[in-house]
Amino acid sequence: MRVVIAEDVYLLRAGLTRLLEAYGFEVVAAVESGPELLAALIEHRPDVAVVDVRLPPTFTDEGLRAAIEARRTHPGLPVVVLSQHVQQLYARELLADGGAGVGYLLKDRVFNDEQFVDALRRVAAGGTAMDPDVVAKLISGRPPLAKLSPREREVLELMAEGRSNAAIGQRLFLSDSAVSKHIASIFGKLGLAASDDDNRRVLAVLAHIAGNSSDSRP
Amino acid sequence: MARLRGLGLVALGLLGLPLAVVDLVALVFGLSPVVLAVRRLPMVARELAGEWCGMPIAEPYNPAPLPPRPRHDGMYEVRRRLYRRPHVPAYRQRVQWLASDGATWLDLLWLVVNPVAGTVLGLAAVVVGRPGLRWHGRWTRALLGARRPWPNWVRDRTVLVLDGAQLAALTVAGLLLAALQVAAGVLALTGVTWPLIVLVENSRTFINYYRGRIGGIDEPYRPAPPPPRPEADGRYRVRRRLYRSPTVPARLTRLYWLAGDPASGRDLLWLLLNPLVTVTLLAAPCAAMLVGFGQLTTTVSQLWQHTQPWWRGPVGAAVAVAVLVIAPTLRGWHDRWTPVLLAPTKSARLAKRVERLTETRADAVDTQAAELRRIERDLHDGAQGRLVAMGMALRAVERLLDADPETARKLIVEVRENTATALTEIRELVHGIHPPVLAERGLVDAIRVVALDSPLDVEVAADLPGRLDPPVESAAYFAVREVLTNAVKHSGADHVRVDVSHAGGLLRIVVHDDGHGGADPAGGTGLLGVRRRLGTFDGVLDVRSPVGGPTTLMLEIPCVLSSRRTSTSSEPG
Repeated sequence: MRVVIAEDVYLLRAGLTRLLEAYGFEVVAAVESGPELLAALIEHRPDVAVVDVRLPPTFTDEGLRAAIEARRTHPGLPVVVLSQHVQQLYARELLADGGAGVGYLLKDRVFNDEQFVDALRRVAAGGTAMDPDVVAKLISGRPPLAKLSPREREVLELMAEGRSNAAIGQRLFLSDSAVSKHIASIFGKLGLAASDDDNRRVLAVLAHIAGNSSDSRP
Repeated sequence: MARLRGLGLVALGLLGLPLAVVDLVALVFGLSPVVLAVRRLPMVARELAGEWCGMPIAEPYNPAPLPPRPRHDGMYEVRRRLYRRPHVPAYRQRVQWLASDGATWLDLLWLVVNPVAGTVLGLAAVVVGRPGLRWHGRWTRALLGARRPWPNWVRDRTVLVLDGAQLAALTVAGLLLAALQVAAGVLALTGVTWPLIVLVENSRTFINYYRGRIGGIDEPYRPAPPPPRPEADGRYRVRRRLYRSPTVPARLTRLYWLAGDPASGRDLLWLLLNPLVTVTLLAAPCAAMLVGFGQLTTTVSQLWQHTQPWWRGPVGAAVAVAVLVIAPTLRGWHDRWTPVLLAPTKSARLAKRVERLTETRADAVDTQAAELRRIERDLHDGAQGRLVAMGMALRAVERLLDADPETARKLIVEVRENTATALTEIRELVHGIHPPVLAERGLVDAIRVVALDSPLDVEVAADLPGRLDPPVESAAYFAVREVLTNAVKHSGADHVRVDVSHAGGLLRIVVHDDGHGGADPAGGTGLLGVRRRLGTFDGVLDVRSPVGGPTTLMLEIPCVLSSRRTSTSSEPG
């Protein structure tokens, strides 16, 4: 699987490259700035890109903007955005185009290499990987979600992170059919049309949460 | 019948002259019950216009104000002053209500003019009967009706001239204060100082009222001295004298403060000079106008008797109209003269500025130092400690690797967990120093993130086509965050709206919530901290939060926008 890495700190860039190569990824480019990233994405069309939010030259949200820009010109280009901090605002921006293949994770998640690589594979396959911290922030205090039972909320959180039914069942020690039942109930309570497709399901849930929360658009 | 009624109206009109004098005096000195009593006469005239002349006239007066309501602490507030009982606030409210009602001043004009105009028309009714009564009714409605058919111009200008006369009357009263001050100054030389202190303080109140009437003139006075503090031996020192009790030193420092302020001298000079100015520019024209109208009406009333040359009437009218025409110019000259002596001088302004800067600098230094201490403590207790623990654990792993690999593995897991915790702690610390979103996206998106994370329904509207200087941005961000935290904790609001805009070199952030109000910067440390934070940048916090809500806070910071990129235009949430 071909990967482009964008990270300005040399040690982390080298570490990520080594980690991904150990898991059989092919790192086609490891760049350190926003403009380079955009060029590399367009040149290599990787199966997945791993992008740090803050990159030179401005050290603001260069990486995030490059990722959104690349996905605008190449819809569905799988990107996993890494950051020292996670914000709902950025998650919403990444999800705004409604396309599949998006990941947004705290940098710390790299420590758990298996889960990190799993998230990367999921995104490359057109799935979603949202950091549990973002999901928790998105879900907390949203009035329409108050109708859900505690167990349903747990299922919803895992679903929003982008996990499959099987993974959710494994985590919560539930049978596949129990998970399906919970999911059907959640969709019923939120008034969403059920779908068998994992990705569309996640996007629907995330769009629903993001759309129903306090809207601060001017 | 019509003739008798005509005579009655003449008699009613003649009552107006003495009452006009009473009314003017009562208005100048704020005797609201007297003004209300005098109102009876125009009210009777309105009723008669309806019953006798077939011209019903509605009451034109503004409705009486509601009785003052106490604040949350039971005190009554009038123009930034607090009163324990409602009497004085109610009284000031009534004076304000009467003086600001145009109908009051038109009543006064009617009292002056009607004795003549009303007499003429009343006599006309005696001669021609019913039509004369109708003319009288029309005249009464023209002046006393709610809907005035004659142009606002005359009304506005008349009110302006009468207002000027009131200012002139005030300054003449000020002459008395000046004379007493001079006398008290002489008395102070003999050692009796309290009359001077009392007089200077009262004249400051008086002149501040005048400043408020003209508008836009700041107080020039130096800040009041602190209460005297004892020396090491318990005695109090004032210049080269020592006192055992603080009473005399307190009075003396107050005296030196009042007498040593150049603004006091300028005040006294103004008290002496201003009567000249106001009498020439405001009182004399007003008198000329009244005499002019008087001449016109007397001439008309005596046209048949030829006791007075006929041309006095038109000349009188011309003078009165001329006064109305030039009144705003004269008032403008007066308003430009006033700040010459009453506005702070350049050095007074600089002194004030230095004082303010000293204060805000001390605040800034304190805040910074506290912040650094907090960061130092957090690093010391958190990340630093964890790194030491991790180092030790790794050393143990090194030793155990061959002998006890199982324990070594456990230790390694522990170390990894420790790194994760240390990272979280540092993340939180960084967030408290300078939130990453602020650096990455600027003020508006940083506020949006706070809004998204808030349990309240917060709406952010922004018009900020650029970035601010980082220090200003940071101060504004933390101020807004504090305000929103306060709203969550205390306001009981469901919905909050934040408006961010920049115009005329001023960043303005308005935070409005629909909670139960009663926010008081003096009450808690939260808003006080916000005010301090903004003070460093010459920013201000304005709090409007009546008990019962809603609350509106306005933060303003003078600053410039740079053209650095700010939040994208298509951002969600």
